[in-house]
Amino acid sequence: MKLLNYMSLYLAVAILLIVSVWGTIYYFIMLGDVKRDVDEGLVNSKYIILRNVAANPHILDKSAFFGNNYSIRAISKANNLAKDHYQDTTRFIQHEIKYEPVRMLKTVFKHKNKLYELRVFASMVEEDDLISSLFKGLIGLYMAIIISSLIVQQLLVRRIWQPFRQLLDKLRDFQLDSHQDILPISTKITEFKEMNDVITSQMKQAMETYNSQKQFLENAAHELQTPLAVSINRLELLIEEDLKEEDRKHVAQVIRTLERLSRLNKSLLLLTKIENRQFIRKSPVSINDIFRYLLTEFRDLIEQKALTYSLHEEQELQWTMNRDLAIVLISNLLKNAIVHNHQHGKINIYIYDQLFAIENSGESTALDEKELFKRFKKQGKNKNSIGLGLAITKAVVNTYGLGIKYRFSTTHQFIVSS
Amino acid sequence: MKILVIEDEQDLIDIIAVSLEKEGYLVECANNFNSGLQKIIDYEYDCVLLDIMLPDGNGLTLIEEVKTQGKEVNIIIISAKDSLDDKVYGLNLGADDYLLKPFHIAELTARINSVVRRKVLNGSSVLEFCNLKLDLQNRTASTNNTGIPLNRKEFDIITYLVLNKNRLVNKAALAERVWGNYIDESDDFEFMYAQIKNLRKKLRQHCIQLEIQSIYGIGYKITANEAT
Repeated sequence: MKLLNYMSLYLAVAILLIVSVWGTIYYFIMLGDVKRDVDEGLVNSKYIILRNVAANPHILDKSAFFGNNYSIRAISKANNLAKDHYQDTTRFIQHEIKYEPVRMLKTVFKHKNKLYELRVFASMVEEDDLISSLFKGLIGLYMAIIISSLIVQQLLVRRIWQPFRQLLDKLRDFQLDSHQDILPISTKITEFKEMNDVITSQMKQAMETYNSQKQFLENAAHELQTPLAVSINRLELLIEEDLKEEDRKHVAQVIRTLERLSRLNKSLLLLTKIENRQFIRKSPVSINDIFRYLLTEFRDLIEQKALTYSLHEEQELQWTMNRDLAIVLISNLLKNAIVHNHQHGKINIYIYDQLFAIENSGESTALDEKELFKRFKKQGKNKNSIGLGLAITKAVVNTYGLGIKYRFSTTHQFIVSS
Repeated sequence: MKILVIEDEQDLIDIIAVSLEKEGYLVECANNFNSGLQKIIDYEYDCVLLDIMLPDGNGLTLIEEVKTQGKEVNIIIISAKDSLDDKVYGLNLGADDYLLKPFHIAELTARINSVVRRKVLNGSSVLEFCNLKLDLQNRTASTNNTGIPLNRKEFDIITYLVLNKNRLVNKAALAERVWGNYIDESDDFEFMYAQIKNLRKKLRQHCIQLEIQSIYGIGYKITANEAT
């Protein structure tokens, strides 16, 4: 639910409550006013009648209403002499054929030592009518408030929430490894300003942390390179010495391990270099050429596994990128297709003007696409694999805003598209 | 034969010295720009190994200096910086080769041997070992004037091994030299074994008195085989 709708809902309920309470109070105040008015009229009528009684005593016989708005009857004794008594009652109205609410004044007066009771009535507003018209009015008012507030909100919301939207877009596009500065949004609203400041500083901090860690990784890899090479070199010299057979085997084993370490280190260095955008030179690179070139480079690897391959150059594919990175990208994918293949397997390569796809036989189950491009996630059984190849591939793809997808349907397919 | 190593990393100097002494070279060292330059000017060397990042100056400037002094010397640049500009500039200045750190011992040996051999043999491009002759210019192998048909990779392998004769050649170094940069240890080098097997067969067929030994899965070594 949108914040606006949420607020409107609460507002609608609140206004409804206020309007109903207000309506009820208003109803009783109004009713009181009407009664006071009617009562004043009744008292006035009473005095007129009493004056008339003095002039025309015959009206004392008017014991029933008969079209008049008063009746007088003689009574024997009175409980409460000269005390006016008001009463709400009903009276049958001929032409409407129904009982109408009336206000009646009962009073007792003395005429020639005789007690009489006078009843004067006046028609009252019908409470039903009052309530219903009041209700209608309130509904109208309520609707008017709600609709106008909705309209105002809709009109205002676009303007007021604009900085929020901008901020959201910025966050959505934010990438830790992007090398762009975070531009603050301009807004006069304090809350948005605060949010913007907090987010901007957090982003900056995250980027700084990320960069320093990346820098550390790069430095570490770089600093490790020479000692590793020196160790391997020393061992290579040692193994040439007159050693016992057993010792030679041990030295060979250590060399192999160190070489693995050195390879891992090189890959990490390459990865950080790619991510740091250190491959600057760009030129239009023919992907078709690179495939043809690498397939000849990899011929021995392909023959070793007795693989059959086909290169379907449907169109010419050219991307503007660093040539070395293009080679890194394609050689990693090709090597992947070779290494994770089985003997006498197949590799099919398709090149179109927007994408290329490498398809290879291999394991009969799909690889986990989520884990595939993460560092050190090895999915094959190859013990020599260090699990950085696809991470490097992904880094190259990201550098140039390309996309890479993995699909599985009896064969494994990697599709790189612009 | 005298080699000068101008390098500030003691570890690397040790290794280079030990390795080159095995090859029968006389090795001298200089730890900085000035002593390096002084030695080049004062003495004669068959080859100079020059690190271009020295504590007190750039190795490329050193080459310029040597040239202005009119001294003829073979120089192999070693650098930790994979910079195409440095490489092109260094080679234009007259350096013979450019070697990127870290390198394999075998690679260094092969490069020095190539440079020195060219100098000693006045640019001859024939490499000989036992009864095997390798013509590097025409890329042909022969023995007693009989040609040995080798494919491109077999020729590259045998050349590299001969340039490192009697020394262990790491598989990784061999792969880098023969198969290029895109094939590495992750591929297990099984393909290399197939090529070596063919090569051995061809050498046997032509009665070449050489033996290619496997060293515990880490590399190969070519030696003269007196028994044959």
